[in-house]
Amino acid sequence: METRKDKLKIDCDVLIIGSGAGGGTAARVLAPLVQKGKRIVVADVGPFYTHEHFTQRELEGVDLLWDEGGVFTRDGAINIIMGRMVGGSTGIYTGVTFTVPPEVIQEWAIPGLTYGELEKRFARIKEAINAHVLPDNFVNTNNRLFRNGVEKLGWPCGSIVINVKNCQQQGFCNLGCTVGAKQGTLEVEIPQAIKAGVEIIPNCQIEAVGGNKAWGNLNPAPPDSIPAKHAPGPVEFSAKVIILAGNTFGTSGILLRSQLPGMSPALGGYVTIHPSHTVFGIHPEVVEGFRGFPKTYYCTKFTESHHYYLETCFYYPFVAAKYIEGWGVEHKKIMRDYRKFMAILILNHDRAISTNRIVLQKGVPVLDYRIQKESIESLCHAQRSAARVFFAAGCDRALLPASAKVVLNRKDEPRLEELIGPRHFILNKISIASAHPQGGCRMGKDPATSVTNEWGQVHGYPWLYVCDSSLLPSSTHVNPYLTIMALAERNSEHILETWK
Amino acid sequence: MGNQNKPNTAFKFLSPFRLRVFMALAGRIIPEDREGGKVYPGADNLESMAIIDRALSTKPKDMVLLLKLFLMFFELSGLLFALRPFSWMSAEQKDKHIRRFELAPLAKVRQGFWGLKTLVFLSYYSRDEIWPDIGYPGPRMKRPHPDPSLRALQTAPFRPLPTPLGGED
Ligand SMILES: Cc1cc2nc3c(=O)[nH]c(=O)nc-3n(C[C@H](O)[C@H](O)[C@H](O)COP(=O)(O)OP(=O)(O)OC[C@H]3O[C@@H](n4cnc5c(N)ncnc54)[C@H](O)[C@@H]3O)c2cc1C
Ligand code: SF4
Repeated sequence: METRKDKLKIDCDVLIIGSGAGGGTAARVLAPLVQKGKRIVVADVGPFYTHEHFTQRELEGVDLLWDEGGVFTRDGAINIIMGRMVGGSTGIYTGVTFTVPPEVIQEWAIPGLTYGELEKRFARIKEAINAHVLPDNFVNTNNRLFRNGVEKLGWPCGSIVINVKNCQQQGFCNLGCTVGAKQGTLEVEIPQAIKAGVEIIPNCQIEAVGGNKAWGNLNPAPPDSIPAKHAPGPVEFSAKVIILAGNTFGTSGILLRSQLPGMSPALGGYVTIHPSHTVFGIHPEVVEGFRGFPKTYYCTKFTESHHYYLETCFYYPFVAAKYIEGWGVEHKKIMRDYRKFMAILILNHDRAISTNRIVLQKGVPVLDYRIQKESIESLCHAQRSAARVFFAAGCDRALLPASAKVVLNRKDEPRLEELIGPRHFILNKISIASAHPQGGCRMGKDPATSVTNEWGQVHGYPWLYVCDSSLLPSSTHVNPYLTIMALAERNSEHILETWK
Repeated sequence: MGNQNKPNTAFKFLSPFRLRVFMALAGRIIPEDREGGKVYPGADNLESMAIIDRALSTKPKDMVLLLKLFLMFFELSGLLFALRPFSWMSAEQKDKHIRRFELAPLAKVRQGFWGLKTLVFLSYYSRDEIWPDIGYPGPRMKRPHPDPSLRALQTAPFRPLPTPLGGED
């Protein structure tokens, strides 16, 4: 399609910006308005691929990510991974379905938001997306070893709830589910919304909003994707209600660029990310963690005391190589044991502080985030715990990033306190990642400390709502998608109920 | 420096100078080694470089500029420590230089090195030919990619280098 120079004007009743966990849910809830003659449009900067596009190859999966996987905190220390496609990050998530602990909701103190109400939403959403504990035949060797190790140590081992239907245990969830088994937004909410008459405009980057309008640019569709029905070029939307669902980065970025008068000083602030490590042990037997469903167990032993979860996981060769310290022949020989790797994901729940915030750099949202001392201590503690699990599970070597040695042997176990600790936690040397950015447009009562009210409506802007991860006032502690969906559903129902 | 040893490539980012530095670095990050009579190739090959070139050709201009400057700094700072640019150093000198960057007191220097190292890992471990060496059977599904040239970067077999790179150009 040829590029337009003139501005395309689209009038609609609801414009939803972003189609991930939050935006997809908003589209599903508001879809009945189409029956009443209303026009609903979802614009996403990412392309619209179906699951037929995914190829289970790392190099080909990078085009599903923001900046092809190259988003970092401003200090360059932490790599943030987010999906940039119709379906958002749910297109590449694992589908780990956790309910937020009740004390987090208490801490948020959002007027009218009770845990009881959320619980009902969680149950309903989980049913709709087939979230369940996977049967025993889904437990691959990596997960079985994790369970053995954790139980041997006398620690609790929980079964993870996953939202899949007809999962063929292909094991490539984070490169996009090739068979459409993962019940993310791309497979559930977006098709439902399209069926109900909601329009999807992929490849459409929204720059700013103001006065019931949104401005952006429609880019050409990449090959193999479903194109928008409009030619590429500048776009102006007019809508009765605009819903921002571009996630912590996208939504905060749009609001910062829009420079709306009277915006809360909290805009962009209080971002948490769940800083994480993927760590490996090497087992004497073949593990082949890359086959079968990657995640079935987790351990909460140190959640209360040291603020982290241990979860099973597995990654493909490049990502695994990146997470292992060192280089040279030693690193290469370690990689030769890839089939024997056991893998654990460590997730720290970091504290929300106002200075960890999204800022604009040449108009692009960037996360100015300093990892806190307490997070570093938590991650070091977690690495020692992971080492214990590896050895208890029968591994003879453990690879931990904040360690005095690249490879720890079983005989090092009594010295873990001495070998793994903050003095070896060298920022910008070791790999730290995050797939759970939250906050930036936090909900609350007081415009001085929150960007939206209890319904996700931006303070002072009745036509402007937020329905995504940026709403979360502080970390959910657990993997966040279910909480984001529940809040998006709640806010969208409010829009529906108050529609005039 | 003469140029008769330069391979005939059509890289966008990797000028002969940058190609030479990247090759020298890749050859230490993932060097060729032998075990049990088998030779395991290193990452200092044109197929891996082609992946790096492609990865960088889609990055924003200012990021690429920073990387170019960092690569030059990485190469030329060798003059300060070993009286020769990085790519002209012996293997031991190279390893020492790399460690200096990896553990540099300045976070930005460590960050730059982390970026280069990660690119080398990407260029090597995303190639099909390497997978048998690490016991990875690859994707379960054989699906084409809309861009066959991207797929070819992963599947093309290693070719021997036209001549040894480095040292004398
Ligand atoms: C690899 C990976 C694995 C994960 N696994 C899990 C898991 O197992 N369990 C769990 O709970 N969570 C998981 N998460 C996190 C979870 O996916 C996210 O927290 C959740 O999807 C966030 O929802 P969201 O709606 O805020 O944003 P997203 O789902 O990221 O969607 C935002 C959308 O907005 C679009 N957008 C952004 N800016 C603009 C703009 N300016 N104009 C137009 N469109 C824009 C983006 O392209 C994107 O599609 C994972 C995340 C990743 C990356
Ligand atoms: S393991 Fe299941 S959900 Fe994950 S990609 Fe494979 S088929 Fe899809």
